[in-house]
Amino acid sequence: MSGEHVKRLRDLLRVPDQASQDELGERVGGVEQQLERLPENLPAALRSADDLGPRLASALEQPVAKAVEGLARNRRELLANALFPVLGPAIRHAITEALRGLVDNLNRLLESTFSARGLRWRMEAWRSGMPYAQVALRHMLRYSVDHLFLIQNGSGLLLARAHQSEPQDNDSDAVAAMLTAIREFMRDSGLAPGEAELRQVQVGDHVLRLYPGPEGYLAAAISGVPGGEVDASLAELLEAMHRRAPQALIDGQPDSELDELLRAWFSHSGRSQELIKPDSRRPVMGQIVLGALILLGLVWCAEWLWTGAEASRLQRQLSAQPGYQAQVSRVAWRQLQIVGLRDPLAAIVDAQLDLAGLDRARVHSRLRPYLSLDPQLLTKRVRQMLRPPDRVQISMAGGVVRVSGYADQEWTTTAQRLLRAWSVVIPSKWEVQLEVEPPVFDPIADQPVIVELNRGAEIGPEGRLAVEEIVTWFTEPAQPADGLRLQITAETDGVGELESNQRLAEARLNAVREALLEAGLPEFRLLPGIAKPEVVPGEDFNRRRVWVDAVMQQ
Amino acid sequence: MKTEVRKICMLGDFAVGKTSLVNRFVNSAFSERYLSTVGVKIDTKLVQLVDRQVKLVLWDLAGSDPLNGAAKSYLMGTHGIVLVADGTRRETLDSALRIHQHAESLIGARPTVLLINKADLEPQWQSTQADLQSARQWARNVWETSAMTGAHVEDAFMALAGVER
Ligand SMILES: Nc1nc2c(ncn2[C@@H]2O[C@H](COP(=O)(O)OP(=O)(O)OP(=O)(O)O)[C@@H](O)[C@H]2O)c(=O)[nH]1
Ligand SMILES: [Mg+2]
Repeated sequence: MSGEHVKRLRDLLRVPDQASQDELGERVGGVEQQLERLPENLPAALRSADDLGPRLASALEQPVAKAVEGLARNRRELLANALFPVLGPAIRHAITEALRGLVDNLNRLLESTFSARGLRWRMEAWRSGMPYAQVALRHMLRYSVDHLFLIQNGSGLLLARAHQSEPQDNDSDAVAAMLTAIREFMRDSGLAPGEAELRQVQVGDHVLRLYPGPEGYLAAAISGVPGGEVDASLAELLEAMHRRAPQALIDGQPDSELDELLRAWFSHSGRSQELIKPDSRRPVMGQIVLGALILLGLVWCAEWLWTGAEASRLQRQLSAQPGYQAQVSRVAWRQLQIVGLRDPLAAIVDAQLDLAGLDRARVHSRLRPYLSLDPQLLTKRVRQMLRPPDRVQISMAGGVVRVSGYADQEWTTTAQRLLRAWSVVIPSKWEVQLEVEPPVFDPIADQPVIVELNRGAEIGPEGRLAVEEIVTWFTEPAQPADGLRLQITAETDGVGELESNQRLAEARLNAVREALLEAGLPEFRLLPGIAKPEVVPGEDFNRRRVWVDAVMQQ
Repeated sequence: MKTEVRKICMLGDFAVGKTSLVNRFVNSAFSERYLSTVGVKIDTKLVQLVDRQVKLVLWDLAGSDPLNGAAKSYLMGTHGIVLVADGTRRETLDSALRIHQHAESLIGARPTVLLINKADLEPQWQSTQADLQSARQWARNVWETSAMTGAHVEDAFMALAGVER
């Protein structure tokens, strides 16, 4: 905008000259500042408006009432939240804090006081091992329950009351009902989450504590700092009231018995008693003894638990072992005992202890022998008694004792006799199967094994079995004597030319030799074989075979 | 002399005059101002009957439907109910009936008096004789009261105090 235009505009608007412009600017600025400072000035302004008195009040009354009304109706939780800090846990917290502060202050104050009383308390603190502040507090703090009400739950009717001093004419019935109303409101609006109900409120310089009971509750207005003992004894009083006059509590009518209980409590416990009691002579000594006893108790508990755990561990281990029917328990300080039954063939106790990592000296076993029916032990028992040769297997399963394999006639007969007689060892419900055959190859019996062949040099199915039989014998754990050798003799019948028969016999010798080596026979066991064709012409089935003889070399 | 204590609940729609009636009965006073009750207000009044004294603990609950939500538990242990309707508002009679039924369902039948209030405004009344007749069917004790003039207020409360427990 050019200067010319501005000038014309100013003329048109009759804008005041520069001086009045500045004044105007200042004024506007002043208003702005005032607005900025409104929050700080408002209270003072309202106070000065107090002179207007009823006018302002009545002007504000309607809107405020409306606002509160609306709030109560629509935003109950908002109102509740606003009230919450006044009641409930916050108060407890505040009291705790205040108390802590009090103790601190007291400490500082008194620690520098060398009054006779201070010295006496110091002595007491020193003797009892309590902090000095605590001792001082104990002597200084007094409380007094000034009013006590018994109020019926729900209805809020006052059933009994007692006062320390004659009360001014306050309406206890209304107080009782109001308390109940607040309590119900708190409870129903979920004001104190986690807190079932209002327990304590600060009312002026009184602490109002509520003690809930099934039919009625006690409200105590207490001045001073009450200790936990007040709570305990008031809870007791409430219990006694429920016990002695339950009907009065249910009916909600005043009752002489309730009154009496309340008065009796008042005269006994309404005020804190003189707290300086004659101290037991040697509190420190007493504390040491008590401490030692507690420590002993703890150690004993720990040992008891530890040894108990060891016992159950060993118990579990033994239960898993066949042939044990035993109970393990702790009998004394670090001592275990095993009582029960043990099969003599079961694992040795000491070995079990070592396995469990338990000192043998700590465990006393009182095990009596018994015969276990456990298949594993039965097998062991049968084996012990039959002393079977290596190629006899013994198994027990499904109610059958199977003795099978190869053994000579003599052993078999003995075994048969023993098994019949051993019903003591083998329970009668077990069936015994003895399936022992004489060995096909028995170097001691000095009988050759015959390997059958076909017309040519091929070993037939039965011949194969014979070969396996021989090799098994040599490769079994019980190794035959070092000097034992096998001599193979191959034959043919007399059909055809001798020369070709000689070749056939050699082929047969080689076939068996190869078969034996292939089945695992160590080569050193073989002597050079003999090929022996029949010189007498003619057909003979019996000569179509190979003999294997056992020969002992010196 | 033995004093009985009785809990009385004031029930009724919004602004029908519950608080005003209690104020009249207890303090013999009346105010034009309307301050809606928040939560509950408690007053007591000692009443002399022929043979005994009865102390009434009056629970004045907030209006509208006072039995919604939190106020429900306020009814516990109630001996008698003062049910209030506003004669100048026809619908408050219906809500009085509804609230009464609700209360009965919560705590069972209790001695009840029905107060049709603001009798001093009779010219503006909306409640007809037929309405009053039907009200008498479910509330045996019906009074036309005025918290302003005090008409029948005492009678209504005394009727409740005199009922045998
Ligand atoms: N003229 C007249 N006005 C009345 C009478 N009783 C109450 N009022 C007025 O009606 C309004 C409501 O009265 P309250 O007593 O506050 O009503 P309330 O039932 O307590 O209402 P809530 O706050 O909802 O519980 C007030 O302005 C009273 O002055 C009456 O008998 N006559
Ligand atoms: Mg009211």
